[in-house]
Amino acid sequence: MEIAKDDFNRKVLAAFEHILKVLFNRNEKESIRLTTSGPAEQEREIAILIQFIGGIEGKIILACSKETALDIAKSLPGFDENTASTEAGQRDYIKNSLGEIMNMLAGKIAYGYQKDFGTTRITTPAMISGKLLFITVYDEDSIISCIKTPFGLLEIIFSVC
Amino acid sequence: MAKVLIVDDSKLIRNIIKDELQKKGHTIIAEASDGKEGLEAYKQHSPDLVTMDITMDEMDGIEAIKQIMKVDKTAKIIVVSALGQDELINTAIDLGVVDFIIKPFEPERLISSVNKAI
Repeated sequence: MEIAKDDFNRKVLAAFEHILKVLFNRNEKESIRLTTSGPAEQEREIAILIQFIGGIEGKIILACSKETALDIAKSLPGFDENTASTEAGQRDYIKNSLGEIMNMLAGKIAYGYQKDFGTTRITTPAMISGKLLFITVYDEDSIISCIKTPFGLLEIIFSVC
Repeated sequence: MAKVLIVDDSKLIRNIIKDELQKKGHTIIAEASDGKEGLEAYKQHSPDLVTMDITMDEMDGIEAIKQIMKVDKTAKIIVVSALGQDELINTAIDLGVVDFIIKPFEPERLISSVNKAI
């Protein structure tokens, strides 16, 4: 299975832009235009992981700072300041928001490659949170993209099994 | 106006669907976060319509649709999923769902689908 980095990055950027536009225009936020950037020089405090099974075999991880994650969660429907005033409440909102955004992104990637690789299933998103999360990528074919959003930088790491 | 059961593991998506449907006067009779809960809620509340996610931990949406259809062959189910691959859509349609909406969706897409279904 070979996925070209440029093609993957184009697909991810287009997918992310569409997802954020639909989700945030619902909240009458300004239109969202995304660009890729160089490596993120920020603390990783949140990582969301989804596994691809079937046509594509691999994992996709979204990593960002807690501040970025919270900004995204706060901008989505249903955010309640009281519920999010505790650490557990914040974690719940972040997992729900970024988990669903990653679910949509993984779905779009699976769809984008179905002609090349066939049907792919995805797992439910898992979240890891902490301080200074370190992600080591051993596979040379792994793709790392960094996306500038109005909320902050999001790193997308895609690793083929 | 319809009594609707929302089955989705994402609270965010449940909130979005709930808000949009309530604005149009529909009643959310129950919410479930996986297929197993959804099946139980269906048996308990007999909703007019179900919105069903596919990727869920306890029982996925495809299995939940099969089980609900066993209970009620006339069940009206709209799939709302991030996965929009042809094979999955065909499977869901073969099981008798009335529509397949791919996330993220515009509110109009959801409302139009619900109106057609009821």
